[in-house]
Formats: sequence, C-alpha cells, structure tokens
Amino acid sequence: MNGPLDRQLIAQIVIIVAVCAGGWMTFVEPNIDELHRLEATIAEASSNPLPMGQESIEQMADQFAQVRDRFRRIEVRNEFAGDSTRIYGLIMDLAEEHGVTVQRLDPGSDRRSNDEEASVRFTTLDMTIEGGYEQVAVFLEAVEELDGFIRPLTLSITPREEDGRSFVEARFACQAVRFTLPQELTAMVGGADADS
Amino acid sequence: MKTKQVVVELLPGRIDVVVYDGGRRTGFHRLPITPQSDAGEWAKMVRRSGASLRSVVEQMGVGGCPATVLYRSPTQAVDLADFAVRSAGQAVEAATLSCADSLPYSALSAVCEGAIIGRDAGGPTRQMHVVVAAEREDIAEAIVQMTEEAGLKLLSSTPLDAAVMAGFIGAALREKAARQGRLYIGEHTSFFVITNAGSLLFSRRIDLGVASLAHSLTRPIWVPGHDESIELDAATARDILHRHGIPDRDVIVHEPLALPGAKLIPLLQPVLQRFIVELRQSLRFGLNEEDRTDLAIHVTGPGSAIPGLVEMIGEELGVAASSDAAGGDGQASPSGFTAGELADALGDQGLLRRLNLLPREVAWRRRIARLRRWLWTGAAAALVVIGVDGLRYHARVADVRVEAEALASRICDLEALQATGRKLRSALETMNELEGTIAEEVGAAVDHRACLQELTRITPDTIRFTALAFHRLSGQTMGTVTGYAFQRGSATARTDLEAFVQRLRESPLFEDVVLGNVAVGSIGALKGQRFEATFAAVAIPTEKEAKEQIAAAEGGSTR
Repeated sequence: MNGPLDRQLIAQIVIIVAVCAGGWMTFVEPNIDELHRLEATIAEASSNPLPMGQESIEQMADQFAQVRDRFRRIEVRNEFAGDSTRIYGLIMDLAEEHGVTVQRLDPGSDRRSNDEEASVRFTTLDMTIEGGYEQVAVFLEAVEELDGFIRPLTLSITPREEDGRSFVEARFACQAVRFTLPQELTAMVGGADADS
Repeated sequence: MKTKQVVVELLPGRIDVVVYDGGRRTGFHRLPITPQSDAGEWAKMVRRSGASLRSVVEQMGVGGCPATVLYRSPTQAVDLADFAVRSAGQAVEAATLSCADSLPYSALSAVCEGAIIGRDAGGPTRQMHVVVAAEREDIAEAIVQMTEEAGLKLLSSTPLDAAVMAGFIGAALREKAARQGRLYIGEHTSFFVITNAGSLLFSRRIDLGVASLAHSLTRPIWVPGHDESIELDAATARDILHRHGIPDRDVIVHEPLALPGAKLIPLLQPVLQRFIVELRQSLRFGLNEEDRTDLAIHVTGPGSAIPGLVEMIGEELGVAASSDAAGGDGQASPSGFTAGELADALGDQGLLRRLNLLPREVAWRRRIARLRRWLWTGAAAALVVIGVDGLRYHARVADVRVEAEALASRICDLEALQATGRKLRSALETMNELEGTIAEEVGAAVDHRACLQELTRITPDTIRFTALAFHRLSGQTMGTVTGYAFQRGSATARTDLEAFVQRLRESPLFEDVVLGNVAVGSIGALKGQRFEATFAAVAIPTEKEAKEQIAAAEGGSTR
C-alpha cells in the first residue's frame, strides 16, 4: 500500500536535492570560489606592496632628465666628426674670425675606422695656417673648443719672416672623435624624445 | 481564499451542518437521520448520508470548504488516562495502548489517538493527563467517505465527547483554586472533576446529560381529564426543560395541555436521582469528609442553563454550587443545547487535530501529502535561498572584481615603473661607461693657447725659438722647443738659457723639462747657444670641459 508512495516521495526528494545541489553548484559555488580567489589575490597584493613611492618616481624622473641631457650633449658633439664639409666651414670661419690664413686644410682625409659597428671612430683634421703668434694661439684654442670631441695630435710652430713681416706657420693635426652611441641609450632617450 | 469553515455534527438522529466565517456562525442546516444502535447499520447510514449532505453543502455554498466532523457513534471510546511520566510521548503511547486493550472490538481494526491535556501542578506524583479516543476503522472510513462525498475537505474527525472532555478537563487543570469541583453537564454525557491548585484529584464521566432529562419528559404522562396518557414530543420536552427546568409542582409548564409541574417531576426524578448518586459517589471517592465540607462546585456546559438544576445539585450534595450565566450560548437554538456543547468542543482546534480519528490509509495519505507539501515548500525555499545567495555572491564578486582589477592595474603600473627604473639604472650605467670611454679618448687635453702664452711670458728677449712642436705620445702630450739663446752684452757672457729652463720647470703647465743639444750657434751676427728643450705639457681641462665635469659630478652626486 505504502510502497509506491514511499518510492515516489523518495524519488521526489532525490530530484529536489539534486536540483538544489545543482543550482547551488551552478549559481553559488563558482561565485564563492571566484570570490575567495579574488580576495586571496587582493590580500596577497595588499600584503606585498611594491616599493615604489612618489619620491622614487620623482627621483627617477630627475635621473632620466639628466641622462637625456648628457646623452643630448654627447650626440650633438658626436655629430661634429661626421660632416667634413661642416668642419671645413667652421675652421674657415674661425680662421677668418681670428685673422689667420689657412694654407692647407684636410678635413677628414684619414678615417681610421670605417667600421660603422666600431665603438669609436676618428676623423683626422690636418691644417697649416699662418698668422701672428697670438692669433694662431687663439685660433687653436677656438678649434679645440669646437662643439665636438677634438683630440689634438701634433702641433708644430715655426717662426717665419717674409717681406719684413714676422709671422708663424703652424701645422696642426687633431682628431675629431665620434662615439657609437649604445642602442640601449638611443632607444630610451630617442623614444622619450619621440614621446615628448 | 476560502475563510469559511464547516462543522459537521453527526449525532444520533441528526446531522447538523454549521458554517463559521471568521469565527462567526453564518449558517446552519439540520439533516434528520434514523438513529441506529448497531454499528454496522450506523456506518451504512452514515455512508448513505453523503449524498444528502452534499445537497445541503451545495445549498449552503460551502463546497470544498474545510470541515471538522464531531460525532457520537455507537463504537466510539473516550477515556481519560493518567500517568506519572515526564514524557508526553510515553504518556500518549501508554494511554492509546490502554484504550486499545479495553476496546470491545479488535485493536487491529481500531484507530486510536491521544492528546495531552495537562499535567498536575503539584503533588507527590505529578500525573500527566491524556484524553484518548478510539473508533472502529470502518466507522472512521464511513465518516471520511461521507465527508468527501459531500464535497467537503475533511480536517478532522473527533468524537464530540473527547473534544468536550479534553477542553473541560484542560480548563479545570489550569484553575489554581484550592479544592474545587467542576461539573460539565453535556448533551448526552457529563463530566465531573475535582481539582486542587492545578492538580486533578478525581474525574468521572457520567453518561447522563440534557438529552437524558429531555428524553425522560417524553415518557407517557397521565393527566386528569384525558382518557389516555399523553406523550410530549422531543422538541416540546426540550422547550419545557429549557424554560422551566426542575419545575414547581403548581406551575403550568404546558398551557395547551394545562400540564402542571407536578406531572413532570416524577418523570425527571429517576434521571436526577441517578445523576445525584453518581455525583455523591464521586465526592466520596474523591475527597475525605473534612475536605467535602468547604467544597464548591462550579457547573458549566449546556445543562447548567436548565433552571433549578444547579441549585438542586447543591442542595442534594450539601455543597455550594454555582454556574455560568449561560451554558454555551445560553439561547435556545435549532440544535437545542448542543450549540453550547459544540462551541465547547471547538474551543481548542489543536486538540481536535490531535484527537483526529482517521483511517490508517487516509492518515498515511495525509502524512505523505503533508510531507510532500513540506518537501516542495522546503525546495522552493532552498531554491529561493540559492537564488538570493547566487545574486548576493554575484554582486560581491562584481565589486571585488572591480577592486581586484583596479589593484591589478595599479600593480601593472608599478611593475612598468619598476621596469622603467631598471632600464634607467641600466642606461645610467651605460652612460657612465660611455662617458668613461669619452674621457679616456678625449679627456683632459693640453691647452695649446695657454702653453703658447706661458712660453711667451717666461721666455726672455734673448731667446728666440726656431721651432715649437707638440705631439701625443702614450696618451701624454710631449713638447719640444728649439731655438737660440743669445748672449747678452759681451761674447763671454752667459745666456739666459738656464733661467728660461728654470722658469719652464716652475711653470704649472710644463713638467719633466729636459734641456738637451745645447751647442754654440749663431744667426747672422748674433752669437749664442742653440738648444733644444723637451717637456711634458700638463693636460688641463678647458673651461667648457671643467663646467661639464662639474655638472657631471653634481649629477653623479645626486644619483
């Protein structure tokens, strides 16, 4: 008498329990798991903060500005050695400015290294000038102070007299040095320049 | 939603249908039936009444309403059992077993239920009092069949006496007065109890009631002037009993028959005497003589409204007797005094549910249905909780996800910043290396102008240079001066060559000055010494380089 009723009731209980469990596993449990995971992530992130404060950020910005300025100066001075025409023009301008005569000028006849990959490349400037002792001295100083990397090699000065006029003949050889800029710096500062 | 409740009162000779709406009686209908003393016939009669009852139910418009059946059957058993146990379950179980054992029919064919109505408030052995009711299963099935056939939804089926007894004794147990008798005079059955401060001292069921008194008045009466005896019908007998009660001998209780009270007293006397005997014996059993002297009896129930009955009971028993102002509703009603008894029986719906005598199969079906209702209700509640939980967690996850994303973004920014910092440090190192290389290649250099001016300053007039040369050798700039040192004055005088060399050595721009190749020589008429001096020119940074180095040093100090 009661058997079928019992079985029916038990079946309904099983179905309801299954539906409830399924509903819980479908709608609640994933949310609980995700919640625990997110909370654990937040707790972990909160307990291990990255040591980066406002002060260090400003310090980094200052350092970057300094690196950029230093790089810019080197880059500008580096460009000097690459353009013999410009060297020629600058030296002739200086000679005219300081009252000396350029008898001979070789603005880049000796490139010691044509290897673009070399870390240092040299361009030799060889010139012969005539003028007063003081003018020559000032001219030489001006050449050495050109906005480039200049390394004097030899200087020979010989007094001359022609037509009752005393002057000196100076033969001056120096090297314009060009440094290959590291790719790391070029990328960093160049990228920053592009950004700015 | 149906708020109406139907009470079906199934009594010998009639079926009363009373409709209650929100506790207020709104309808009544009486269905006469043939009284049956045989249980089998009674069951058949009840089953047959289903159709008639259906028409009454439809007529009253209460089809499908919940119905409470209160009945009096030939096979019903109602008893009060007392057990000195603490457990209510044990008391009910013991009471039902005891009742089943005492049934005149097989306990296997009986349904039996019990209900706790109270427990003694004090005393050496506090008794648990159980009202137990039993019925033959076929009778219970007949009642269920009748109710279902009538189109009513059966709530409970309870013997009227069981409901009244439970309500009456339960109320008596709640009374805290010392030594008090309480008498319930019902329609067919009366109950007498003696309580003392919430404890039941004695109880007795008396199978006499208003119906017994009314029935006694229907016996033949010999009246002068009438050739034959006269017999009052039941309604007239009830009406006289209700209006005159225990009448005075000279009072005319029935005008058309000029019937004096003296003719009725002999009819009532046997019933009353039996009733008094029952009560007197109860007092003797229940109380000792001293306790009986100050006993008060409170009479309630439909019978308490019979005029003179309460006073007669008090006089006969020699105790103070009082009664309710009116038993039940106190009014004559189509159902006679039963209306008050019905109200007493319906007083506690919980008792009716516990004393519900249903056939086992119906009870089982109901239990299963109830279980199923709980199951589905629980399932619905569980699903609602799951849904609410799901929504709540979903909302929380959304909030936490936003928080986590913000945190992740911040961490990402910080990591990017850290990477930038690492790159910057690396760039700084690279820059330092590059500047080291630059310093190595084009570091401090000889200031040719300064050297030339210094030579001009320290060279005396008597020395004339013929050549001046600087060249780099192993990272150092070496200088060579060749010229003539002319004699000042006489031909034997010494030249200023030594002083010149000394000045060279003292100059901060030159070091390691070495004089060599000094030989006599002349230029034209001027005679002197031809010499050659070598030195190392000191490299000094130019003003521009010095500024750059200072700037670099300041930058380095801030690094």
